[in-house]
Amino acid sequence: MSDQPLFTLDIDQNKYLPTGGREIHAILTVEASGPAERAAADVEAAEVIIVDASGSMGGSKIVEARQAAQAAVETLRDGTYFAVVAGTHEATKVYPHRAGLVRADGRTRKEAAQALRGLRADGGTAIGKWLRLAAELLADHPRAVRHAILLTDGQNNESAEVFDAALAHCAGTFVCDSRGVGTDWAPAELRKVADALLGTSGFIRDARDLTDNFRMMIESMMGKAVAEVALRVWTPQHGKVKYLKQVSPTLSDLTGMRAAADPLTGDYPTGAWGAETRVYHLCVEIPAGAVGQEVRGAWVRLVRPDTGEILARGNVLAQWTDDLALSTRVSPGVAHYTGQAELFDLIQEGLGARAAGDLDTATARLGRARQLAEESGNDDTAKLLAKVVEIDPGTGTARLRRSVDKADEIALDTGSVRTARMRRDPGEPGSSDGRSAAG
Amino acid sequence: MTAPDDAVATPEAGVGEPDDAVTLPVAARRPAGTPETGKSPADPGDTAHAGSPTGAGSPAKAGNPAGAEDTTATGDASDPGNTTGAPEAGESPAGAGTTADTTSTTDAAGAENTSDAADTTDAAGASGVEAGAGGACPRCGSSVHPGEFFCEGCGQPLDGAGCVRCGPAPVDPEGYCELCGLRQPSESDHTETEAGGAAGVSDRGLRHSRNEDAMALVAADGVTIGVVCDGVSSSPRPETASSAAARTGATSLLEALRSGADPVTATRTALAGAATAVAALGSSVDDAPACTYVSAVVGPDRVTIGWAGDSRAYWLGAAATPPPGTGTDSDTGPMPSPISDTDTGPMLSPVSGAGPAPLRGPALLTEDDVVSPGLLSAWLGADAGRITAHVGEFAPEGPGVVLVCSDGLWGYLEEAADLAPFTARDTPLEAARALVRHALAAGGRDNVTVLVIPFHPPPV
Repeated sequence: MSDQPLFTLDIDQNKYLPTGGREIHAILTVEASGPAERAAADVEAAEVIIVDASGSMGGSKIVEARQAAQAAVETLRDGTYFAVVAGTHEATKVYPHRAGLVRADGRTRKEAAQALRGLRADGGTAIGKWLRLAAELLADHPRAVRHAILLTDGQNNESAEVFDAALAHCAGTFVCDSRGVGTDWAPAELRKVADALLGTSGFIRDARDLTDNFRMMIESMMGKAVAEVALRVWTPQHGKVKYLKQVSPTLSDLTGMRAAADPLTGDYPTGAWGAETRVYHLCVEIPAGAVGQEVRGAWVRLVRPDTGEILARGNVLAQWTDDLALSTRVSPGVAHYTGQAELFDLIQEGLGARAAGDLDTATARLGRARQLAEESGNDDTAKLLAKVVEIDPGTGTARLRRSVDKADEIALDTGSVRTARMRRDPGEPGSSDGRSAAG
Repeated sequence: MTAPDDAVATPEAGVGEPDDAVTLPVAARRPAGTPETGKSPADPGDTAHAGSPTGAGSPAKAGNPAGAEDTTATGDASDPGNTTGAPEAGESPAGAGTTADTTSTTDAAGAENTSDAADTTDAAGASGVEAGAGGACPRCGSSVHPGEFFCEGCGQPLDGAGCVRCGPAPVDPEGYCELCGLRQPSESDHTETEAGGAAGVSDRGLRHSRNEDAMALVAADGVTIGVVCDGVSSSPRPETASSAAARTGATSLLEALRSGADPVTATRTALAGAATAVAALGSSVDDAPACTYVSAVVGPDRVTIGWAGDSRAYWLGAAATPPPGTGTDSDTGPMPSPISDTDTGPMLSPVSGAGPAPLRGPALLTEDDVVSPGLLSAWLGADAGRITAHVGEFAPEGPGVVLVCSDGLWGYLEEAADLAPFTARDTPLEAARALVRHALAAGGRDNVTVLVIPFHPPPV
């Protein structure tokens, strides 16, 4: 497995802090490139496909869901271990009929399709139970890239405590990408699954798109060449990580997932990696130093927990200065992704206020969000916002649309985690025509 | 001619007078892999860049009222290895050959080999640090010679004391304390050096996290050579530029003089060699370590100065005759002679014509290559384009000292007449320390480097 992708870590920050300053921000761009696809073919993979089979799935939805699950099975690489789970108020493995997972080949794919044809819609929704069964099935393959697809169309019937306990139980054991279909499910619930299980959540507006979507999710999973990578962050004594968030391609808070490696160091899981780029925002609080002093505010390493191998490393620095021109400068990456996080917050607050009937707050938040989305080049989110809030082209005043399609609201809610990439590479050197004198 | 005729003809042969003193403090390199963000506190920022659209493409040539000849050297990023092409060497074939030899040994080991023609002392020895015992660096494993205070590999102190703030905490190979994160002071933070009666002190200052200045001091064959270079803070790895330039400049000067070159030609050759060495550190114009450069050759009867950038050289005459009618001034320092009234500008000798310019009272010998205060119009680096090197030759009319310094000093003490009292009584080392202390007391905003080279006229 020497053929693993090449990881790079790029750090964008302004290291200068004002006198007494304690908080450092840095944007960490992690890129995996190189022989990822070739390497992925050699990596053991294990997949559980979870299809909501509750009563609400009846009619055409269950038909589309069967076809999508079948397409997912067909997309699996030969040799991948897999199972299909039907989710209701219970979790039922519909294939394979024997214990555990089964290797994908011509025969097992055909058998799986056969089993899926018998899938009926009946019963309630217990997402926590579904995930627990997936964890149990995947536990037999600890070295594999472990992944689950979860499809639901309804709100979870479990209490928050039961659901949270199930997520905590599953965290770190597999990555889960979840999808909601129809308009009766709760984006916030699937967002919790995505955050806890380091995957994505998404909205499938038209059940006929399920098949393509499932196929894409499997293809993406088949491209994963490293099952688990952790961000290992050292902070100095009396310092701490204030937060660590993934900010691209989607927003996801990793702060609470810290596992202490030693008193000064914590590991944050990032899940499986193929050839891809992810961006993180690290905020560290450290004791203030004297003007002129430079400290390493954080030492960031990218680690494979299975082998202990360090894939990349970098320093987040802090240097105190009494020059305000230096300390007030904000790195372009920090500014951009702080704005994207604010955009998410505005949308969530706006949708929440709208649901609660507070239309003034909803208008203010969503109007500002639309403006921010457009300014920052987040065109996808701007389009989703346009379905909910309109801006008078003459006066610039924001106004909520009187009738909003429920599906548009869900699309906005779900899509709000997607951020825009920086327009310009933050590491790109600017052109300089003169030389500022030394010191 | 300052180089005696019986001087060693083959510079690479390593033959020298046993009592020669050559000191080349080699600044500890900053550990690799440390990202550098932001610019120096004194960086005027983007507006300064914008304000000088012609700065990089065609460096503004500093005024040259006295008609000194300019030498043009090329710092060409596309061909950094071309050492023989750089010195515009037609004037001095011997000089060109010497430069090529020198620039081929710009690594630290090479510089030490070059300098073992004379006695080499460790600059850190003067600062009273306990020497390491040799063996291997406990942090990075590089081999360490007995008597070394800092690891050549990782630049960290070898005394094993750990962090300067937390005490026993270990320091990792990149130079950060593993407990509190503090970047440890390195060898170059404060260095002192002495050679042939001259002395130099270089200090990090109070506001910068490292010393990007570098100096070299060589005394051999009756000549003292001093070079001061100031790394450009807005360039990447500026400390590597200043270190390479100072080292290359001093060794090139010595070798050129020993090859029979006159001091003016040797000064040009050395500056060109230093420019080539610095240009070779850059991979492109966007990754171009840069520094200033000023050299002084102090011989028995004249002083030769060469420079590019805003580091300076001053003449501080020790026995200036007070001009008539200045008795009301109670200043105990030497009074400026009438000629020093022009010390807002340099007194450059027309080297190809009338001979060295006479020197009496305190005077500035260089003219800053700046577009505006703080914005250089000339520097050494792969992005420097064609460098206009200025050379001036002077004939002091009495004893005194040549002061070579970076802007960390003259930013606080600019007038030659104000500098002179510091060197009037003390030994060169004490004088250099006092000047550095003055800069630190005044704020120490920048790295500060001071060389004090005495000039003693031959007995008549």
